[in-house]
Amino acid sequence: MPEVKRLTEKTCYEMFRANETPDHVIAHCRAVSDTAVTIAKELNRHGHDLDIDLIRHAGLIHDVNRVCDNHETVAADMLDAAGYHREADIVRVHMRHDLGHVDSLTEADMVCLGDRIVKEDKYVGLDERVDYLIHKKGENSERTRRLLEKKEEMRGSIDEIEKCIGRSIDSLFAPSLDQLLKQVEKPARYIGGETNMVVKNPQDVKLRFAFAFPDMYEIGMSYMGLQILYDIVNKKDELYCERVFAPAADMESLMRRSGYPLFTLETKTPVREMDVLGFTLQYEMSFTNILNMLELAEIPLLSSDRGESDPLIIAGGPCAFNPEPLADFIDVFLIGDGEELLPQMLLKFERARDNGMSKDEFLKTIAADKGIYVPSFYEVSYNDDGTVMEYRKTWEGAPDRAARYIIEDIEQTEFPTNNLVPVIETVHDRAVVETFRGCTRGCRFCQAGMIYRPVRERSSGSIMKIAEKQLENTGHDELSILSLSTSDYSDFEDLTLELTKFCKDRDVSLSLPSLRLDTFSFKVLEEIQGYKKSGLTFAPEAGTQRLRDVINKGITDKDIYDAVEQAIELGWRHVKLYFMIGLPGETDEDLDGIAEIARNIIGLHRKSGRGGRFNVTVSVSNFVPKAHTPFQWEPQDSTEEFKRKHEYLTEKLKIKGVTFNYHDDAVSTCEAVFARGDRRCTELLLAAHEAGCRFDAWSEFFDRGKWAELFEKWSLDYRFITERTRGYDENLPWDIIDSGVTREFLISENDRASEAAVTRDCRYGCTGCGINQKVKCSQGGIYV
Amino acid sequence: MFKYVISFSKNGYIKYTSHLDMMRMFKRAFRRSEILLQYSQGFNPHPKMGFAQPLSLGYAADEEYIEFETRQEYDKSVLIDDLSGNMPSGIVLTGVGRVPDDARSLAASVVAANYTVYFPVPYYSYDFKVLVNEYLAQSEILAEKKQKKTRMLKEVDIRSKIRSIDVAADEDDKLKMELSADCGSGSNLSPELVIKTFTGFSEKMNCERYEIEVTRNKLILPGDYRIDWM
Repeated sequence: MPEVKRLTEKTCYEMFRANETPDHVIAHCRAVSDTAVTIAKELNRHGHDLDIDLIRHAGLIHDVNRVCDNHETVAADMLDAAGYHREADIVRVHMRHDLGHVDSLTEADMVCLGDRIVKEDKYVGLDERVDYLIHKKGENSERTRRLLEKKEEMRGSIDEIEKCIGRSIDSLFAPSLDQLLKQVEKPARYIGGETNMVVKNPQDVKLRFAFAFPDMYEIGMSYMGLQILYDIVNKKDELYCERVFAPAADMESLMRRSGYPLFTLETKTPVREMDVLGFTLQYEMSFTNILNMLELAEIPLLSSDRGESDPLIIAGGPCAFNPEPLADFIDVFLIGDGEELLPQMLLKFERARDNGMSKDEFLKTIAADKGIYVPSFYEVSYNDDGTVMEYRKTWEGAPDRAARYIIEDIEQTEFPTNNLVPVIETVHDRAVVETFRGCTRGCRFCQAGMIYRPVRERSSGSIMKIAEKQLENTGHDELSILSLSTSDYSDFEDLTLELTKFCKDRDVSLSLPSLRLDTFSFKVLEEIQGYKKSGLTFAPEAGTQRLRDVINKGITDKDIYDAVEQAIELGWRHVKLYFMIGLPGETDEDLDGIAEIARNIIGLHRKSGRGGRFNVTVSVSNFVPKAHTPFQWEPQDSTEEFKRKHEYLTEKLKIKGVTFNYHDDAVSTCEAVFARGDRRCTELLLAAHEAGCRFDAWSEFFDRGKWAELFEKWSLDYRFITERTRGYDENLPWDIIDSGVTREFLISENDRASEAAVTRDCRYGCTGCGINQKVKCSQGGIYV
Repeated sequence: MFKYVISFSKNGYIKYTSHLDMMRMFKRAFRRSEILLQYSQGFNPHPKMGFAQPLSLGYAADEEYIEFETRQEYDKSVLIDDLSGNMPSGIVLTGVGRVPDDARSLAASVVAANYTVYFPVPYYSYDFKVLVNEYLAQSEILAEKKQKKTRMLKEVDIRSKIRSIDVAADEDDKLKMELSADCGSGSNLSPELVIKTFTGFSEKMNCERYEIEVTRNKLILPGDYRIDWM
């Protein structure tokens, strides 16, 4: 028997030439051939035995005579005459729409299928292709009906094939991550693979957790909390913590256009396939990104719309202390220190699922645990005046208030030494050691100063050991220490001297943020900064002594001027001052005080006779009253009032050598809405998401007009949240969270504020905040 | 003075890091491996370390070079094994050699580079060979190039900088182009300009830039450049 003659690529092209096949038809033939081959190869991987070469060449030649009438017959006859019978048989039937049974698919079926899902020279899928045919030659209802009928037949066959290969045909032709990465700015934001990234086989773990930072990679990777929790969760063999960040606008639009779902950096797994997804809540203006990330992950936004197959959505961090604006989106809030709480909760969830429990059953088993708040177990009702009437439990096992989880001794808590080292530049890219948690100063506006009580220190021995290991494992050349107030570490001078020497020996630069500027600090700064003096930073927060007493910021005019004199003496040429405006009881005189301080500092420089360039930057932020602080009952200035004050200050600060900058007024209003908002914020957040709001913490993305419109349409008057003075007898939405600091203490502090009475730093004697009723409080720290 | 050259490959997602990212990565890897680099003098000391040629973001590479000076002598096990363990995944160190103290820097010595460019268009041997010949037979190949100083686009003739082009089919029967072009401080041609002019040359090149993959296979040094591979 003579060998069967088979087409080759070269013959195909000779035939194209002989038949004068137009280029665009050849392009179409190639696309069909490619598509059919790709699907056939996938089928062969799942037990079929298709002749790939036959499909490739029959596909390639199938429309060689497309310009003729009955082109399939003309072409098939030609192929038969030339002895290419197998190809001829396929080409002859390529206009068919019905495929054989999935178990007995033929090469001809593959070419037919390829031809049905390619438009011109690109794979588009069945729907788009049929839609294109319907509209291509003008509407014709009879033709349309026939096309739709055939489409249904083909859909059935495709369903069968997809079942066989275990994935959609679309996914075989989806753009690769590589293709997306080639089209975006800073693609390394999405690649993972950093030094010290944890690699586990997802098959070997029992639970997969995605840690989500609702902002860009560069911001999220600078956040130490991520490193801490990533390290602690991944130390458990049965858990795998991966990371996900908010994609930038360019990446987001590509992902949306090509249906590429939000994925984790570690394994590029779609986030919706995780068991638990956890958002860190660092600032209110990231809330819109949370909704957007859920949508990009193809996870329903509202808890009530999610099912058992969706990941459990959790959240924690400072903004969880008023969780109510997010209560309808998050399944569980974690309140307080996360190092023990998070892994414990994840392990409990894993065990519960193992025992066949539903999500709701699981939530009931943990609802009363310390640090756990399950919003769906409470129903909120409101009085006619809009204030909260009550929180009614929908399940009687839920606690009256969710108690904050407090780690008594952070010395015993693991701190990461194997930090992830970002591959691209991030905001902070350095080794970091936390020296202590909490603060004793009692500034009345400060949420961190209240919700992280009591002061818990790490011993200087541990600090040095951690620093050394981190530098070894990361190769960083900068070390920074982390706390709410660097100088308040109880063994500060010894620690600093030790760190300074340690860093010098290793060519590592040391960064000591928020130093109290006394003689010792200057000595240290001289040592570590040498000739490279960056700006000197001060945070008086208010312009007059009276207002500083109101907010209990223990810094005097004399402190400022003494320090500045020293700084000028030592050759510093730049002073930066931070103030807040809109503080309770503020008058224009307090604003005048800000200008006064700036002018006096310039004066001090002039008096020193040192000459040369010297400048003062005045940076003003707008006061946002926060939950769980003595000012939680106080009104915020209106957007207009902030604007007036900015203009007032702009005039007053027209001083030679002074630069003035301030935060956007509308952003501060927005922030205040979410800082003290209740569950009625759900409507606002959904509308904001719908309107396309995201990255609202970025001044270049915050859309003032959009937000004004959103407030206009909101069923609640936003001023009810921002500009209203609350009574001490009112139920506050965040009362459901027990921070450990008593209400009585907050009330007495607010009352003392109205008298401008100072409350001392509690390291020098307990001021009765109530935290020592919950845990041991060593006030000033372990070295006192 | 101890001058070394390390050759390495760059594959996978790590190819989306830039030249500066790579500098930082190597600098940290040296620190983690406790390999003491020689620092420059002056107010802003920086380690004496540099790549033979920057590699464009998005390009994979088979054999790139980094040259550096150390404060003391190291053997191969430190420079390859210790350092390898400290590189992000996707970077594989393939060799290390000594360079004479007085050698010209690699950056100043590289003359050309070989690239493989993968186009996602089906390869049909006959057509593409003809096409490439026609492309190369042009008396000039004009490409728009951004001027460094003015940032303005200017047309330049790149024909003389293309050393050779071969085409073949890759495993998936897609077009694979082997390109050899000038590369270095003397004469330099970015493969981007070849890709742009070649895809513009024929309608058969029906693909987008983001579908095209580029690998730099080798940097070509003058024949007498001495690296004593360890």
